[in-house]
Amino acid sequence: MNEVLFYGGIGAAAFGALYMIISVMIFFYKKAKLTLSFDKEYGENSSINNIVEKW
Amino acid sequence: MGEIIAGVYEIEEKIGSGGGGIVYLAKHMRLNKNVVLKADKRKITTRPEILRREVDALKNLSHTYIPTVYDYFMEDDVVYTVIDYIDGESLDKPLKRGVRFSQAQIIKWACQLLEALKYLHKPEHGNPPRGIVHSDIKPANIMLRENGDICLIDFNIALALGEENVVGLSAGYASPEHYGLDFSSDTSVTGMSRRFDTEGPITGRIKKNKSSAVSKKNVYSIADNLDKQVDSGAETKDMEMMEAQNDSAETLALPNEEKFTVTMVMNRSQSTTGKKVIVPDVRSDIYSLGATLYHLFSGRRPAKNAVDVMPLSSADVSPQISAIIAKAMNPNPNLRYASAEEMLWAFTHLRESDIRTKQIKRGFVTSMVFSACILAVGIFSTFTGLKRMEAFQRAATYAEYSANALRGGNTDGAVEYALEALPKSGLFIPSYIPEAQYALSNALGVYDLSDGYKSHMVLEMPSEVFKTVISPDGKTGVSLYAFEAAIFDTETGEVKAKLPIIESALSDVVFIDNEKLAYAGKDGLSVYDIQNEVTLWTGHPATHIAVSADGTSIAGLLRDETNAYLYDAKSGNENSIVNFEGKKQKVDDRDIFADPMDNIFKLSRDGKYLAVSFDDGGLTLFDTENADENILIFDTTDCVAFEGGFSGDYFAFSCIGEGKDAEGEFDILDIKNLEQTVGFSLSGRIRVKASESGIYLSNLNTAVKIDPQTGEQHEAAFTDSDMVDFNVSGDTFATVTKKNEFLFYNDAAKQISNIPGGDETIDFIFTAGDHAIAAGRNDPQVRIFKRINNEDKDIANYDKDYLHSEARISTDGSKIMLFNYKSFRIYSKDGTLINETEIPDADNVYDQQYSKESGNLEVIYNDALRMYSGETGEMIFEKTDLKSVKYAPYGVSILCGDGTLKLISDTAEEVFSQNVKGDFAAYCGMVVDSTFAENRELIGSAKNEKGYFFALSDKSVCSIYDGEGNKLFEVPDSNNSEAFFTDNAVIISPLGEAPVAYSLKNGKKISELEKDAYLTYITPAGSYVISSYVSTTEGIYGILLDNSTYKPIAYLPKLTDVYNNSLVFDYGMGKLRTCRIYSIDELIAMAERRKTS
Repeated sequence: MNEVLFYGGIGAAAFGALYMIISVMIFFYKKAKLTLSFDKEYGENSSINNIVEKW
Repeated sequence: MGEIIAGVYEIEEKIGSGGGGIVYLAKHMRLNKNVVLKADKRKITTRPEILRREVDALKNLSHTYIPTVYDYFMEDDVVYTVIDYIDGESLDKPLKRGVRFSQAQIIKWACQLLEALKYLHKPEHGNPPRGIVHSDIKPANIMLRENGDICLIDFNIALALGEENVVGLSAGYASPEHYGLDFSSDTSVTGMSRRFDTEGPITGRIKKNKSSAVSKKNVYSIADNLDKQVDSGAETKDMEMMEAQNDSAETLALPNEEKFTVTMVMNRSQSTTGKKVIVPDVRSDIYSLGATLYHLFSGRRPAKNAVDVMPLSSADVSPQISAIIAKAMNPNPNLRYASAEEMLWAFTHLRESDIRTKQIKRGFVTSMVFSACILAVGIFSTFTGLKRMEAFQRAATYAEYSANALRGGNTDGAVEYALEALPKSGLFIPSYIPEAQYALSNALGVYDLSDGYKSHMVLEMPSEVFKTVISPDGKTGVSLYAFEAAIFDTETGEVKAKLPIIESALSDVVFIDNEKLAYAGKDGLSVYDIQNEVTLWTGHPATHIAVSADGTSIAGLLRDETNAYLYDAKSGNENSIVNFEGKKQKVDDRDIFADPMDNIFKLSRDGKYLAVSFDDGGLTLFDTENADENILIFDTTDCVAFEGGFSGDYFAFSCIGEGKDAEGEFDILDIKNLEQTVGFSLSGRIRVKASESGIYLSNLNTAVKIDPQTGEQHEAAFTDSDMVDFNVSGDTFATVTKKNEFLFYNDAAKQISNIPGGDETIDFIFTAGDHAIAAGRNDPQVRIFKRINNEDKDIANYDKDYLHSEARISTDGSKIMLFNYKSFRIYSKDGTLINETEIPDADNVYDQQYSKESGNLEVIYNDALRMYSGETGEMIFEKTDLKSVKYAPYGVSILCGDGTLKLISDTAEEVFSQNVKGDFAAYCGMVVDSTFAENRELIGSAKNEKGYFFALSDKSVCSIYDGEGNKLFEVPDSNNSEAFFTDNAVIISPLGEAPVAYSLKNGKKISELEKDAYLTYITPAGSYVISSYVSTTEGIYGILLDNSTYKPIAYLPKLTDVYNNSLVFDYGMGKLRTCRIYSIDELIAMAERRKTS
């Protein structure tokens, strides 16, 4: 039981960390893609605040 | 050359015209700069000061997206305004051409327009509280410059001056307020959500007031900059529009605009005298801008009726844009953007407001939260598991320390380590660790109910001990080390005194009685009063000391001197000097290697004779009163080691020569008659202890008491390994063997205690009273043992001479049954024999089972079953010539020769009967016969509250079934297994291997049980399970298991039965003893009490 907790916890933590990393990577990918879409739709007006960029 | 206006401006061409006037492109002749001249044909009614103010307001405007007003003048009754010329085209033109602009481009223009409106709407630019309201925003009034920027033209300055109802009315772009329509309190109007016939009348919330005069809504082109005023009941002059009548349709003719029909209902208008007038404000500009953008985005002019405007489709614009336009064009001005700044914010925050941004952000946040939760759970689980593993590891480590301390006799240390092994309370620490409870119960010895000697404590001396003795009553011990004598209490371990001794490993100490002892003091042989803690007298320096048995005389000898001094024990007076005539005892050059047991220096009972051995192998009994009466036993011999002493009128001694194959010689002399009564030789050294209690000798692993007169020997002890030392006191024979076992025997040579030692080497052991002490020359530790009596735990008696393999107690506790495979006896609990029965055909007995419920004994053969009453011992059931017999706790299944399968209960009743085929069958809730078993063996069955269970094994796999024949699971198996069932587990016990417990629920392995013995029973007892074993070395014993983990929590030596959830022990001494099962809390409390006491 203790080993299950320990090794299971390591596995879960590793999974959580990996999931987090992948989520961040996917987020930046989507953000870049969306930025391109926004540039196309809303223009690249520098006076327009790009809150996404601020992220 | 064109017309010159005001002598400055040369008209170049007409570029536009409207209801209010004509617009010219002109050139400032002096500046050579193009300007726009707006010529207003309408008559000037405005007072000059108002006009001046108007110009001032206009010319102060300065913004990138707003043209500058340079001048204003009047000529020939025409008012001219000079405005900045914007090079480019108005947006209506490309729209009419069908040009579609990109969304990004339009957004850019929207922001520019909103910047311009934001500027215009500033209160300081107009008559506070409001700034300038354009009031006619439409594509035609937006110039597209060559650089791609826009410019907002033709704004109505008159509104800035607080004029009311001076608006431009451009169909589709004009707000409802332009038409005097008020949707501000109509919550059902939500903008682009209602459809109306676009050709129908525009209706809004226009109140009908029949009593008043017709009110007028004056609609003006924004090109006009006339001062108009509407007053209640007053007609306005110079109106271009026809006045509306009640409920009459009015056609409004707008210059250059489409015609549409307006049905106006009388509206009570208000003038500046205080009555309400619906006046376009900044929100109207917002509407118009929204409508303009609508046209730009969709390519279609929005519907004239505000409530009839269709939302922009996703094909035209992004949803965000559609939402902005929809809000801007809400018929209810309260629901529009309240200002240009607000709408500008919406455009500049499109990305942030876009639902896709929100979706990504939401998805990201959700993922991060999810992964953070998983990570946190993982970290928590890891930390918890680690802490628990550490706790278990710590428990195991300290449990090991405790076991080691217990082996070394340090029971206090064992208890302390066991307490340390217990888990400390904490969030992540398990509350219970079986190993810790096991260590604690063993350290406390709560389940050892045997009488006899137990390890009491270990004393640590400052250095290695070279001699230790115990007082006659066993309450005081003395140990000699370099170079002190420590006097200690054997019960408490308290050191009462430390006495300086002569610096020699030959130093001696002898108890005179319980209160006084003689020791080799630093200043000389001294007698010390223990009670009063005072030295009574000191004699000559001495290493060897002898005390007569009557306590009257003391002899002292210093190392290898050739004479000894005799003292009166009480007064210390020197009675005599015994001259050895030049002989000396065997003494090594270095004392540290001396073995004091190689010499004899003993006084007889009354002190008359002093027995002394010499280094030349001589042995003489010196007459302390008359030297002429000395008895020379040996003059010189090859003997290098002597041992012996006086016992009454006899002197017994042994001696041995040098060499490992040397033979030991033993003799007893009758001093009175001066004759040898006993004499023989044995291989190896013969140890001799002679005292008034008798003469004992040991050789290798046997010790005997010898009759000095007849030489008859009675066994005193027989051990598994050679004895190193022994001691006899009263009815106790104590010995320490080469295996470092401390063994105690009673006067019948029956072993009463066996205490394993640690790694230390023990050289001497002494016993007296209820204590014993032991020490080794190379160890500073002194082990103390104490005799314990547990008679208060007796529950039943029996004849201790009756050999039996098992003892059982009846459920009511009134009777006990002792049985072996040949016979059994029934006793009442006071030890009265009720019955003894011989078991027929004993050699063929396969198994015997005692039924707790009935008290009956089931004797199982391969082909027969016999049952005996637990009350009378009579046979109550017998069946022979059976095909198969199978025992189960709920009954014995017998397969008769005629094919009848019967289940016989423990009260000999037939509870089941059925005809079956084959040579094997058993009832396990169903009939399990050869067909079902298919060459597998039925190795166990049981019945609990959940029903029947049974196990079939083919010697490699064991299958567990329920009572309906459903296979529950399989587990690995090997030869000759037995299956035991509890409520939650099945224990498979292969012969010679460790039994394994599996969960009955899912077949998962729970734990391995003890493997070094044969598992005989599994007995549930409340929240515990008791496993019973039989071992060739330890006999019968039990292990208390936790009933969920099946981990051992207590060792139960000599466990024989479980009675009312209490444990019953049989030590073979004619008594059954019992104690209850202690919880961990009770054990801890016991340990704590022990610590404090």
